[in-house]
Amino acid sequence: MDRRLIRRDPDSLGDLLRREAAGDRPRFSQALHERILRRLSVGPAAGPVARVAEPRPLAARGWVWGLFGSVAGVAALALAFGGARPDPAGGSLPVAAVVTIDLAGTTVAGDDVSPDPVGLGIDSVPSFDQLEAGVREGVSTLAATLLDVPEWRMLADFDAAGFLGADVAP
Amino acid sequence: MAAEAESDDATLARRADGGCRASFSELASRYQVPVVHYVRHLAGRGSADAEDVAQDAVLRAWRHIADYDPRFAFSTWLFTIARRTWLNQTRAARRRRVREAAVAVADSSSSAAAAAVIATERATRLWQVARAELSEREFTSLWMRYVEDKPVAEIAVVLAKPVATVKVILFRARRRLKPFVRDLAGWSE
Repeated sequence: MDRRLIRRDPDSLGDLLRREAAGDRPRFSQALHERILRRLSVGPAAGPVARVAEPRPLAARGWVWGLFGSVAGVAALALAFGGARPDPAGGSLPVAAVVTIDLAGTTVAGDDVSPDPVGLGIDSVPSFDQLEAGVREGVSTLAATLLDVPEWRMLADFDAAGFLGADVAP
Repeated sequence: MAAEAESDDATLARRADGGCRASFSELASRYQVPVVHYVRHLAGRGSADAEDVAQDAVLRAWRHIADYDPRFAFSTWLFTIARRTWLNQTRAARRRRVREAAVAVADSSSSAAAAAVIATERATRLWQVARAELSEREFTSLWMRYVEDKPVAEIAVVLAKPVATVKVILFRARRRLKPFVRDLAGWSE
């Protein structure tokens, strides 16, 4: 290996990588090919499946997780109003809202790698990371939406117990 | 000329979509070696594991051949499926390993580990260093660029990332490998 070549040629790294990979290229395996052919003709892989939908970008699935997260957020709010009346004088947010905002501010941790099976014919279920990220995204959206509504701040004065106990029948 | 056109990947894929097993078999044979080669380096394990992943990827491609977009090379689609198949298969094992020995895993991707690879392996040492030192995305982007000669736009398909992001990933990967190239050059002299 010529050190001078490496220093002079700006693309020497690419050349090295190509050369090294070429030296390690496997040979065609007839056994593997025959194994694949056998699997093509039997079992669940016996034929192509019909296209059920156009491949969607990753962002297009966001609404599913967003909806899921929103439902979770609404449930949390309902618990807050149903379980404990907000302090009418304090002007603070209900407990669930605080929890919601806290969740929204949490960074989703986990692997850098996130396989996306959609549109590529990989029949696997969404990973836990994807579900978790979807829930957080939905909760975050819900919290941001509620905080943007001016009336939200007045909810601290909302008489939840009185409302629930009132006769609302027509 | 007609025969040549008839045998291109897109045509074979279209025929396979129509149920022609022979056309898909031809595609599978064309890309068996590149896919096994890639997965073997990606997995860093024996060729048997790589062949299992390649087989799964090919079978999934067959089942979902209707989803293939001929705007991109068939090999790009197949590499994408192979990469994700490998990621799916190793996800559980990786998490278990992280839980059991987070520190050990961190060490395994350190420069010390890469240096150990350099010291003990002569064949394809640079790619082994790359696998030890780089993230999976960086490794795959380098492999697609320099081994498979894929344009950045196709690498973006494999990684499911924007083209600009792929350029940054490639830049980072090259920069991180540069010191090891110098080490290897000095070692082999």
